[in-house]
Amino acid sequence: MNDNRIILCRCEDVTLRDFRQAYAEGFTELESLKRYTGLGTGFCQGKGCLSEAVLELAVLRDADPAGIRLTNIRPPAEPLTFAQLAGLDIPEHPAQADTGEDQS
Amino acid sequence: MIPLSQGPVPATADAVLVGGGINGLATAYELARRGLKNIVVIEQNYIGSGSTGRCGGGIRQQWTTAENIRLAQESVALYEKMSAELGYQVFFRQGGYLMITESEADLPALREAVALQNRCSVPTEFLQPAECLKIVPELDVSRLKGATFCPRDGTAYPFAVVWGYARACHRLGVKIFIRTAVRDILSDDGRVLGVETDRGRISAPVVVNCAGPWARHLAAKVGVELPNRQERHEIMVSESLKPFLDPMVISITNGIYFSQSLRGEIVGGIGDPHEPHWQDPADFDTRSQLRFAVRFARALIQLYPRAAEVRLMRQWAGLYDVTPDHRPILGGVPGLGGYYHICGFSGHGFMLGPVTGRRMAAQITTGHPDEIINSLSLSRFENGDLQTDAFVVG
Amino acid sequence: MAQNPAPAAGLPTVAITFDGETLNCRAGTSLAVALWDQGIRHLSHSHKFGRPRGVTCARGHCTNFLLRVDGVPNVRSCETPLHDGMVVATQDTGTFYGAPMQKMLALGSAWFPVGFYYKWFTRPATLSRFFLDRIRPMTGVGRLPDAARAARALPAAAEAAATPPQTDLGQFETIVVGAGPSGLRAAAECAGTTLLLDDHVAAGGQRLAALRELASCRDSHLGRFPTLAAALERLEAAVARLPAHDNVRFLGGARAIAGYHPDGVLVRRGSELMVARFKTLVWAAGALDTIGLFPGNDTPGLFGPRALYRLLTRDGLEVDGKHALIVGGGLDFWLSAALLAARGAAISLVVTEGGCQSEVAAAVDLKWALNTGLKLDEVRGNGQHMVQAVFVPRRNAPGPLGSHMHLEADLAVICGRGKPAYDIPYQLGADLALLPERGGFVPRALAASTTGDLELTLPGGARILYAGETLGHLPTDQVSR
Repeated sequence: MNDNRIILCRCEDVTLRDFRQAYAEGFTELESLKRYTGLGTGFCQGKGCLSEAVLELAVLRDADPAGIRLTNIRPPAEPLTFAQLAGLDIPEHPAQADTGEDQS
Repeated sequence: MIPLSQGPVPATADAVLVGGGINGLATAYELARRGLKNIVVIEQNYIGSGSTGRCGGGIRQQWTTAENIRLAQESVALYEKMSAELGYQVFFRQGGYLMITESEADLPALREAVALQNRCSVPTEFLQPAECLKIVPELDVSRLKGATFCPRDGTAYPFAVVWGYARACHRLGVKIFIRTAVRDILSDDGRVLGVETDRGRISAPVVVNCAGPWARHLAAKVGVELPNRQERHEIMVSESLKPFLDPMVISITNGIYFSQSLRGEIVGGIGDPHEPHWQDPADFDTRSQLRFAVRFARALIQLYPRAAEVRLMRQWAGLYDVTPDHRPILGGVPGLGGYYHICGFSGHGFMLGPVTGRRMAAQITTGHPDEIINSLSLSRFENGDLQTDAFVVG
Repeated sequence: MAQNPAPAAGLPTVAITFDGETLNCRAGTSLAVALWDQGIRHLSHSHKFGRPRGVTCARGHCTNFLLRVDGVPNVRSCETPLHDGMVVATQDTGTFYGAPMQKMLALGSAWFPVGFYYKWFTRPATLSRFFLDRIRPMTGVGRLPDAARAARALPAAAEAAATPPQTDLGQFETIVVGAGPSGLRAAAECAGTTLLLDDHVAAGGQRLAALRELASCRDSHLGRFPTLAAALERLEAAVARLPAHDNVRFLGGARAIAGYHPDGVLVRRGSELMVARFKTLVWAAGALDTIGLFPGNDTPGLFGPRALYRLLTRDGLEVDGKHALIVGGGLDFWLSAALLAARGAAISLVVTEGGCQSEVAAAVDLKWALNTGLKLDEVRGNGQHMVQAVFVPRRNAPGPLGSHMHLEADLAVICGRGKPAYDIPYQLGADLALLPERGGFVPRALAASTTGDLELTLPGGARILYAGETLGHLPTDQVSR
């Protein structure tokens, strides 16, 4: 199959071949593959590619996909502007005394 | 770079480094470069998975003690040549560091720091608020009282740095094991004998503890009591935009820092005085907080209004390994030959790791004393010989 | 662009500026669909290979179709409602490698292997610095928002910071994410205060919206598709029961976009953010479209069924007289086909999953082009208007087989097995694993379970209840339950 024309992550233009080559270069962990290829770091934050990447990694490792640690799925699930976030109340820190005033 | 995630560990080694972050890998590389054979690096997760891969990637020379300035200068000199030396692009870009304050009371200290840095031939200059606009035109300077700027400070991509070191280590024959946990350090009669891992025992005359936030826990296995405590610090990246921001901007007033990465993202964080301190790895909690996102967004917009409608992409947290004086702990301990630690960087391990790794490797291989390592030894806490730096931010 | 047809007389229109040109567009649609209706399908490039990008998920998930709108970069046009006087511009028509390189890359990226920028131009140090100076202007997508925008956004943000608006939705016994069939069922079973969220404005979810749209069409042929008629009836009944539960607060058009421990769930409704806390979270957010891995899988004009529903019901995408190719099987396959046909599209079907005998018979009656025994092999883009799908025979498939089969269409809908939504439970601490038989990331505990619902206790004591499609594919089809 022409894996160079199969797009694994369309946000960052990572092809299936890129993924396989990166694995062959020693980036054998999903977290390392993510940083090296850029996979899953675009606007969709992995919604389009993470499960496909885990399945492919399982094939490369000849392992059970259920045993592959997925990358940390960081919040938020979709990009938010700083202005939107600034409009929220600052949640109190769990460790903060209940009278604690936040200075920032 | 072929990190080994399977198979048994070697039964013997000349040196074992615990931790596959910048300290472990830079020190392993420097040891190998000095001719030491059979070096093994053990990483519990993946390369750069601890504090290195979670940091903002800043490297600055603006400090308030001569010793910190000297270390940072050496580090910048190393980073300037690092891509060429390792044969790997680490994306070190010298956009400078703009340190700002909103408080009149900080100004004498800033001016003093500039004078000291200049004496150490760091080209820092003091700027009036309006002069900051030459460096960051979109900055809101209305609340600023002053700033210092050093054009030779910069940022690098933390993962590229550890990958570059790992590849260079691999070329020199260093074995790197990932997904391997060190359970114990073995010692007898005042000498280190090796380590016990979950993949078997490695006998080695030298064990270097580069385990970052886990260093305290590991040192305790051989009775070494480190005063370090661990703090969560959070950081975020924005969407990627065309270049608009050259330096790292850092506020000594509220602890916000931000820069633009080579991918075009704003990378930044802000300290939180309410964060708890931990000493037991079982307590470590690096889950993200909404509180951070809101506080960072407010502080960023206040300082850099043009970012109001830029989007936060993702946030994460890492751990600082903090010492009482916010300076690293290097060297060995009396009465335990072959044991060394490189830890306690208090949030500055990425900027100092290459140079402390080089100095430590020289000391381990030659045995010659090193004045900086001596002054940063664990015993300083007993002697009460503490210098603190005023510029601990973020 | 090919054409600029005036919208039908009598319908409200808005005028927007697109790269300096004024376009009159139908009001009430999203920017992406307004441009699609004008024949503009391919507006942005993927930033590395310069591949054409068009509207795909219609939910703001993907990087496709990012535009500069009113001075703000990287606006997801599929989620942006039109307004009169909107100023729209394409951005960064150059690509990461530049145009000549892009031609070479189109032939294959062997010249630029993955991670080449880490390995090349490192020595000597001066070359490395020169390389960094050259590479930096090529990175990033979109320029900083206009100063005028910041000036407008800031007083609002400052005011919000000074007197925060009501951003706290409060503490709930249960938050149900997703008001589809399983979310409605869960909400009906809740006794305490309950917040029911759905991305769609009305309860019932995206699929009910599509079914209602189909039922409202003159030539819906709904009677010929018993599974669709039954699904509509069940969903309508579930929605009708909702007002009887006065402990349930329904918030439509609201999406859960982050889970924070211990703060709860961050909810976005339009541009407004809110926080809601819970003791139990019912995760009934459904599934995400799966296009699959095949050459050309990023070709504009390829959609999943959920994207199609949004485009047809929310944005009123015009498909009259267009040729639609639908590939797959199951409820969404037949719903997509029936809805597209009812809206005037010519239908070609490729059934790759079995079942639904009565539906197949209906398709034959309706003289839809019907193919079986094929497997999707490749999709090619043909300019801005057509996708061309290439099929190969399935192994062991019955019937006469040619070698390859090429099918052309204006749009193609791939009804694969959806991927269970997973992000918020992960962020709240659920232990997930990829279980291939379930089709995506689901709680690891499901590996040993074949039951319907699943309950997890989070560190800290809160609970997550999985329901419906978020559980992945079940031995029996519970989609329409």
